[in-house]
Amino acid sequence: MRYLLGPLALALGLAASAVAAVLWALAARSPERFRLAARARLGTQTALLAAAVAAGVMVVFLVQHDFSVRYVAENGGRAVPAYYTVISLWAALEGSLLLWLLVLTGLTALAMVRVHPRAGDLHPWAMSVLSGLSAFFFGLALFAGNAFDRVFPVPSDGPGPNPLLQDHPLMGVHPPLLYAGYVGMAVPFAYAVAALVTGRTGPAWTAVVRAWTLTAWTCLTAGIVMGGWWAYEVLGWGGYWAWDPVENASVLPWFTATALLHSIMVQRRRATLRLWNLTLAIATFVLVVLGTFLTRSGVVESVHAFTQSAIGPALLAFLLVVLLGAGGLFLWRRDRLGDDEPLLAAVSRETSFLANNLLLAGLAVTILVGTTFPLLAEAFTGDRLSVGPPYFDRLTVPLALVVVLLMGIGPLLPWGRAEGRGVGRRLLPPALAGLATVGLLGVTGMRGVSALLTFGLALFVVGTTLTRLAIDAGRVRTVEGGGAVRAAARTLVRQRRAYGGLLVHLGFVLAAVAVAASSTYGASATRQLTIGDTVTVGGWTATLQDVRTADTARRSSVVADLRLRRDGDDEGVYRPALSTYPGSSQAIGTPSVRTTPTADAYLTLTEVDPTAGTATVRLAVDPLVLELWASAGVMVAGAAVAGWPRRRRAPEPQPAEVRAVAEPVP
Amino acid sequence: MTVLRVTRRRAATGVVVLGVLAFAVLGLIRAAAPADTPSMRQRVDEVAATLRCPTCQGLSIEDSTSVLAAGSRRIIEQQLEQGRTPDEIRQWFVDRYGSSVLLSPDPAGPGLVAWVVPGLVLVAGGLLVWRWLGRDAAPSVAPDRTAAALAAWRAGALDPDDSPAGEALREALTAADADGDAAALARVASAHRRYTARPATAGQRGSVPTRRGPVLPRRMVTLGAAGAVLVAAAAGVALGSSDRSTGTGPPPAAAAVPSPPASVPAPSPPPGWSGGMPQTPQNWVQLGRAYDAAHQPDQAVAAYDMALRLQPGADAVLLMRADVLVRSGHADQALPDLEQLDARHPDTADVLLVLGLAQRAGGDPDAGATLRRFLELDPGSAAAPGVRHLLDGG
Amino acid sequence: MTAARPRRRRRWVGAVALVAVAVVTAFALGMRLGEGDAAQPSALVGRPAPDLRGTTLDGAPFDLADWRGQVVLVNIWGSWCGPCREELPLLARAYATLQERGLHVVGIDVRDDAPLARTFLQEHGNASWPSVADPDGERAVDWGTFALPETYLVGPDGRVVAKAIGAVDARWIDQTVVPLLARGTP
Repeated sequence: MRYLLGPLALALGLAASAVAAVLWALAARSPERFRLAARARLGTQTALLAAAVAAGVMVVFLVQHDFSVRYVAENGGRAVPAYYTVISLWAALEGSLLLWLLVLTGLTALAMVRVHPRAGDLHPWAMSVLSGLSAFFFGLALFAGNAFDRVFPVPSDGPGPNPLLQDHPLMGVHPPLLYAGYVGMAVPFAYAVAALVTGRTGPAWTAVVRAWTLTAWTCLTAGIVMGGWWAYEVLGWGGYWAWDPVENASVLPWFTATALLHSIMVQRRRATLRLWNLTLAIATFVLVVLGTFLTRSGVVESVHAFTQSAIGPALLAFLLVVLLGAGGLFLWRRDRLGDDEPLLAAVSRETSFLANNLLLAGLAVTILVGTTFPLLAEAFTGDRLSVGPPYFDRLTVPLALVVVLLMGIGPLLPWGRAEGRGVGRRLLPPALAGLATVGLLGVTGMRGVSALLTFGLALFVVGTTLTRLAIDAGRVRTVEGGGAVRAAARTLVRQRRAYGGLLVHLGFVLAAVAVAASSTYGASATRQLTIGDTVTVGGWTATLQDVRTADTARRSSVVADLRLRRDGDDEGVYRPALSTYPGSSQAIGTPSVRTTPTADAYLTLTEVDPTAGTATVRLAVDPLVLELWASAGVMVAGAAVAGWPRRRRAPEPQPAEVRAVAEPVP
Repeated sequence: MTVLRVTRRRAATGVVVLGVLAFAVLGLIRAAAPADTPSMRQRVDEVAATLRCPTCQGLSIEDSTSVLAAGSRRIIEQQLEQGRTPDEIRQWFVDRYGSSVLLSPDPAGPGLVAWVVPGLVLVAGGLLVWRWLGRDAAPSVAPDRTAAALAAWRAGALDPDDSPAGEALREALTAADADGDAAALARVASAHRRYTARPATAGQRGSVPTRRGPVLPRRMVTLGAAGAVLVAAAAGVALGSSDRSTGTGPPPAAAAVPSPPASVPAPSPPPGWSGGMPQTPQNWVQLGRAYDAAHQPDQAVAAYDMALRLQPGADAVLLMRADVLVRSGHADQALPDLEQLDARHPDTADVLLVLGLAQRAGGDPDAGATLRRFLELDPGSAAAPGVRHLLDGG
Repeated sequence: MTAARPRRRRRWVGAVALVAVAVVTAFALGMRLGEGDAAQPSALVGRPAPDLRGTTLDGAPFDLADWRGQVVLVNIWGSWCGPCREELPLLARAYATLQERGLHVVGIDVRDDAPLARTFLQEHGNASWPSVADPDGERAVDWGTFALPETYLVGPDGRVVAKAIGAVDARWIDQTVVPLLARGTP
């Protein structure tokens, strides 16, 4: 009986979301909207409950080690600690679909309650779209997902989740955060569709969408960086980004979301760029679904890719429906997409945002082409080609550098029309500082053209940000008097949105500097050591002290104790290991990392022989890796500052809301 | 400010800017120049970074630690030593693994599409944006604004936005469209007046105040920006491979370092050696020790020779060199040095040990006496049991 | 008015182009879906087999060129490789039956310890064919090995006829190896 609970919950969720979708659509059109909306609300809440029940039931099965359920038989294990047992809910395809459903229905419920005062009839249409999405994914989980299938004969124990997923507690945070970001992009998408359907493609839509996009963007950024952190700490090859197809898929929506965040600012000031913003909102979600398809269908080989099942074709069909539907809506509403206020054809902040969008779109296209090119090439020519880091690095780094340049110029450009001399004068000192940095670093012998450019541009961005603060604080001081510091503080508080955004820029620049430093100035050495032997990289030495076995219930490991020294100073003993898990025959390497603000020392074992007391140890020293993780914190903090809700002024009288009910939808 | 002073200031600023720019370019050129001849390991890494490891998913041969990746790196090293170019080595791998072993698509084949498409999209997008920025504004309204506005609305060219003014205008136009009586038309006129009278720029809060001055020439800036992007892209693509270098900080002090004799071909460093070309005698000694540990006695001896050349009279190094020779079976080459060492440092256990072993290898009858003297001097040495065993065995 | 219509036409063209691209992409992706885990064809098939020269585990010299004109199975294995454990008995049985029909087998033992390897061979099927030691994995790379185990079928003309990825199974031997033997010298 209890085995039916899961499928029942999914079926209930499917029915509830489908009904809610219809009811919300009717509520948008009908004069009786309040009664219909109340019923639709019930449907949305039921869907959330159903998703919670389904996920909860699966977690209970996992914790109870009920191996008659196929998902538990494939991913559970008695020897797995409780924390990893619970998070193995998203260790594989079917379970992660349940997590996706939970997040989707949760966000739908949240969208239901948090209604922007200007939303009007955008809200019920958006709810209808979200409920439709929920219905699709419930159907997917119910018919193609097979999470609650039974297995006969019932095994007595399971292999546990993939060993790589048991190694680090971050595995409990990274997927939910990433999903929150992914699924969060469904809300701007829903509102974009609602805007097209109602024809209200103007300020109401942008006001609603901004908060949702910012929140989802924050989660997505944090999730992506955390994924890099996990790869670095767990996978053992010493890097944090491999241009893996799944990693690429997760980062594509990030570019369009960033572009959307910026060009919404333009639409709020000038009633323009509607088509572009709607396209971005829809494209972000399309990329989310595309990324899901690439991950879950096994179309590309990847560390993450899950095995093939019926989910792939279903997602592909869904993708096509969404694309064609959106295209149809655009065609239908093309007369509402014209702009009534042209952008002045001059250098201004608006045009810099346009340029920024173009570059971000270019980056997204590059990554998309690189990721899908092997598939397309094979489909058309039968040749198996592959696209890896050399391609991506060469093409994305220059574009990213230009984006950073814009980050520096943008804040000093005025809205409207830029007066050449004023802007030039303000930009000059930071630009000179940046150029001087490049020259200085290069002349003193540092290598790497793109690294030097990154450092120079970073200084430029910091300089322009401070210049902007100085100008604004100066104005405050002129008007209100007081000290410089007080004026600066007042500026920061009053213009939270702008300065929060600038803080995010600084965080991004920090990340760029960290990436440039760690990839250009990293060094490594591999050596076979006997006890007492040392491997040296730069000023760091690692001396092998001991090689021993360490067996626990869930894995057997061989550990090497290495004493790390930096320029003679003792840094402690670090213990990289090679472990084998009962389920798989391959040994998984666990790295051991010493993190300092200036550099990381990264130790891995490739081979080890406890009886002979030898170990092949790789010591890699990479500078500024800690700063990369810190930059995520800075970006999140900046986004929080920017998105902090303001004291709401009394909402303007909106005849539109009442009118939306009375007016026949054209 | 007089014109002359302004001009002078502008000239001074220009000079400073040019100077800093030149400095920056100089720094970039210096950074882009290849490091002093890359070591064999760096050359192997460069080629390995462009090849995919066959067993792993997505890792390059350089990054992977698998067995086949290690074998591949050894093959790359051997082929580089034979003088083959990186392209030839890549072709060798493609012959055996197919073109999927290349980590970036070959520009000569269908891979060209992958390299070209992003640039094309960027250029096309830029053109579209350019044209969109330059298009005409909404049709201006003639003095008879009511009729003209109504006509524009009917033709679909006038589209009020969602602001209150816009909504009012839309409402008025719809009503006037339905029944064009005088009252409706009047309402259209007033709504349209209100609509077009809105300020052109909304919300200047927090922005930099604009001042009088010449407008930046859009064409120049846009073209310049596009050019800059293209140059940056081309530079990035072209210089991409020259960025992978290790080493930071100022170049090593310019001491007169003798280069290795021309007769000795540049050896490949032993595994685990990350120090690059040794510059000091101590470094050469370390290198020699590393070669010794890697069972490359010839290279070890050469390294010790270099150390001795830099620091003649370093008897410790001479002893190490002799030790290597004895262990590798060239005891006869070591004997003269060892006898000198014994003369200079009589009754020194380490010297006696190596000397005794060398004599034994050469069949010298004095070997036993030498070794026994060693045992007397240092009975607790790590080598003592072995020596005792040798003596007992005869 | 007149300005609006070209824009509308442009939008139609853009929309149709987008749809076309989407459909084509979907088709291409969908085709790839059907293949699943298609084994990668070896680039060596149809080309002359690489050299194989070295010392066997028993210390004897070996050269594949000596067996030119014979049908040879070249098996890449290692004692540390799990699936090789299952493959070896099957291979031994096949060799026992087909040896008199002219089948030759040689192994390439990758990154292995000679005593361990010899024990492995004895324990898992008493393999009686030579195996060339490949401590650094270079020979395996020379043969284009992706992972262990893999087996190459070399025809009498010295060209690679087929490649099995993963452990060989009886079906592959029946379908790929035996036909060659029927043609070859008894």
